[in-house]
Amino acid sequence: MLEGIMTGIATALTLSNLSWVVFGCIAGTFIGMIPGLGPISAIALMIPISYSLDPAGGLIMMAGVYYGAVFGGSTSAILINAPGVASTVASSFDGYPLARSGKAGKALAIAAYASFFGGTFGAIMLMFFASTLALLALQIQSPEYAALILFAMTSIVVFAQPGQRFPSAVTLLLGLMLGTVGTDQLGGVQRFTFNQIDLTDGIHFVLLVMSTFALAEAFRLFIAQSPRSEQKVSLRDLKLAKSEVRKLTPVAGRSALLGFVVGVMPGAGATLASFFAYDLEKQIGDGSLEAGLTAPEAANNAASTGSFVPLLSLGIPGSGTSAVLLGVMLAYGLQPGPTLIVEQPEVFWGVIISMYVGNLLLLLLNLPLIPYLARLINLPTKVLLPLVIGFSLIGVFLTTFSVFDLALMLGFALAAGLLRAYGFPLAPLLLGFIMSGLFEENLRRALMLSSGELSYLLDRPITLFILIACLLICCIPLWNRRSA
Amino acid sequence: MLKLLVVPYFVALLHICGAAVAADVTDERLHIVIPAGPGGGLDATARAIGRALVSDQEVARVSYENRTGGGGGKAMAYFVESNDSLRDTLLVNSTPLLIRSLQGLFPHSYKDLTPLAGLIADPGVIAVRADSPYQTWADVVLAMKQKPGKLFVGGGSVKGSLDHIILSLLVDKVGIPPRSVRYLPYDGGGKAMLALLSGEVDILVSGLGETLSQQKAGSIVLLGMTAEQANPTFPQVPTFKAQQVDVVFYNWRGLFAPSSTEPEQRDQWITQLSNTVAGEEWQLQLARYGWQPLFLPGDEFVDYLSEQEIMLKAVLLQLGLVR
Repeated sequence: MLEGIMTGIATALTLSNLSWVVFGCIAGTFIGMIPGLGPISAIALMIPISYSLDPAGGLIMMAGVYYGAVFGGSTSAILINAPGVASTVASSFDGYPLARSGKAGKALAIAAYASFFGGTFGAIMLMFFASTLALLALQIQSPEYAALILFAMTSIVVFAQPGQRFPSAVTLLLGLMLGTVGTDQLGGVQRFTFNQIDLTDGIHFVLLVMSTFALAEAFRLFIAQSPRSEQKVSLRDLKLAKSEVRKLTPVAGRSALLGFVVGVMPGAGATLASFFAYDLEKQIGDGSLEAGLTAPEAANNAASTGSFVPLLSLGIPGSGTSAVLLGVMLAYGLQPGPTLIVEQPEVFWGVIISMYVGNLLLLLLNLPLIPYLARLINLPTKVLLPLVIGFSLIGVFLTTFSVFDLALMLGFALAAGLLRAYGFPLAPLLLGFIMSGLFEENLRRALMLSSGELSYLLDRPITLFILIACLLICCIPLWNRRSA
Repeated sequence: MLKLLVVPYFVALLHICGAAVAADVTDERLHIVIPAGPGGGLDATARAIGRALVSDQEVARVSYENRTGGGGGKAMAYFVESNDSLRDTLLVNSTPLLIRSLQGLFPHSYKDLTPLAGLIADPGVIAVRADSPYQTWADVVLAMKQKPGKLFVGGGSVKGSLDHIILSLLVDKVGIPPRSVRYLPYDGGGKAMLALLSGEVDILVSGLGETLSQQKAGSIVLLGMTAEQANPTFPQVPTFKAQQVDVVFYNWRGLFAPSSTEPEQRDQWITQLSNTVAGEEWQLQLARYGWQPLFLPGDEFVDYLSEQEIMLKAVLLQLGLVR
């Protein structure tokens, strides 16, 4: 192990590999900041460059692009309520209100610190527990996934503001329904596609998130025309008070741990992790916006590092992004999996060690940018709104290249605006949409395995545990009411 | 710090210059449409053959376009509809093209294209965990016959798609009705592999390329592959043919030109591709990805496609997935 770490340090700290991690992080964080372009597009864009490098350098760069994009991805979620990827949706819940309330610089700084914390924590965990945790990934099967997703959906409804529970449940169900559009994951049947080729892959996530979050918010701002105070953002905002650091460090700590463990499980790692961390913080934390932003940011960065566990130690991609990374590794003739650490120790350890460098670098790179980025929020509404609308439309068009999708997007934005106007929260809609396919797929597979017996779910200890946890959290509101 | 930043850009610049030098030899350009997202097998194939064509100076520059959507249908629609207006543009595709047009998922078929050449071919495999009670295909067949519906087979795509078809071809040959086999679809070969390793399914049906690394690591055993003959580089993987199960099936990947392509132009493309696949760079790319070459130029490719289409149609009929 120590020998491996030394090999890693020797590999990661060569001049050329250091410059590749710098390049990867810069490219990743800037691409990640563009709404609609997430880690997966960032990595794909870098594939041609990676071909010209040696395996260690190339992977170090690609890993840098990956966590760089996760790092930068929260910027648009916080500033203009336009989370470009699923894993940053939870960051916009408290991050955007914080930025609107005159603390844009502080919000971005908190996100940067939390990301740094999560990423570094993830790298430490990865270094020490990669092979042990790989076994965890093997314990989680379809019924466990189904139960875990049920838990995520239950908690977003239960932990909503007391008056918001029913509306949350309604929008959650709406999201689940929207998720069924497209080709059925298991049977290959077309559902609600009306013979439109644009719908056969379902509604694109970026489309839904841009219309329900960014566009709907832009419409609201347009109608409300709320007078806003000018925000002054200076480098001083980047310094958190000692009391805040003391308050937020444990939040980041527990969120990062939760995030890493959830991230190890192949599937919707980073997204589930950020939702879980947010919900957990709303329950046991002090409920401040700062904590609500720290939690998902620390969690999603730790989770994206966690997704390297199944990739490096089992050779199995846990997410779309790591599937692309796997493709890159195969292109180098590397065989990711149990043999990688033995046959190519300089790649395995080099990538892990470079993550420390990369995360530190991302922090140093992002902090000085914050005052400039945060000024965006000071733009007059008549400049900001067209920018937001333009960015959202471009973000969607860049991912799908379909005019049909733009029309669909405007329709969703109008519907979302109406829902919001009548007090329906939209976060559960997004969660429902993200989880819909995954939930259905895993539940149906679990039922196929058991020939339709629901009791199968109860025969498995982990599943049973999660289901009981679901029931227990449903009792929390009852108990609160009684004590109040 | 600044110096560190400059290095990668400089390297990237060198590559651009490298491409410019090649342009002196020929100024022909090529554009490849890829009906899948970046990072997958089709994408890698397009970029590998593109690199080989440039490196062998058959063309000066290659650009790529990932057109995702509709399970490849959007790229097909684009390619077929803009037929005449496409200049120096090729489409890369694979076996699912045939399957999806047979199922009517999109209105076009390979007959709306000019097949140029098949480049590589990945045989299907059946895999089990290293500690599985079934250590040969005969064991699996026996178990399936004795305890129908007790064995679960995982695969990386929906019902009626490539993995399911390979499984159906194999069980049909040994007298088990394909519809009686419990096939569990997963979202991608990686997740299906995880399901095999975690014990959720007993058997995995997949492609050779996706499973070879786990076989080398010793965590799984490949019981057979649907190739014509055993491969000298990994003799431990037997063919099904050698086990008296006469199933030969490849997931091919190949290149197509628009249907309006003139015969001379078509012949020129085929010559260029033939030269390139014999070249060093293509061999290098094959070795890099562990791909099995299967070069079928022009008419051979067309014949292969029509044979495979007949085979696929028969299986899909049996599965009740086409009428």
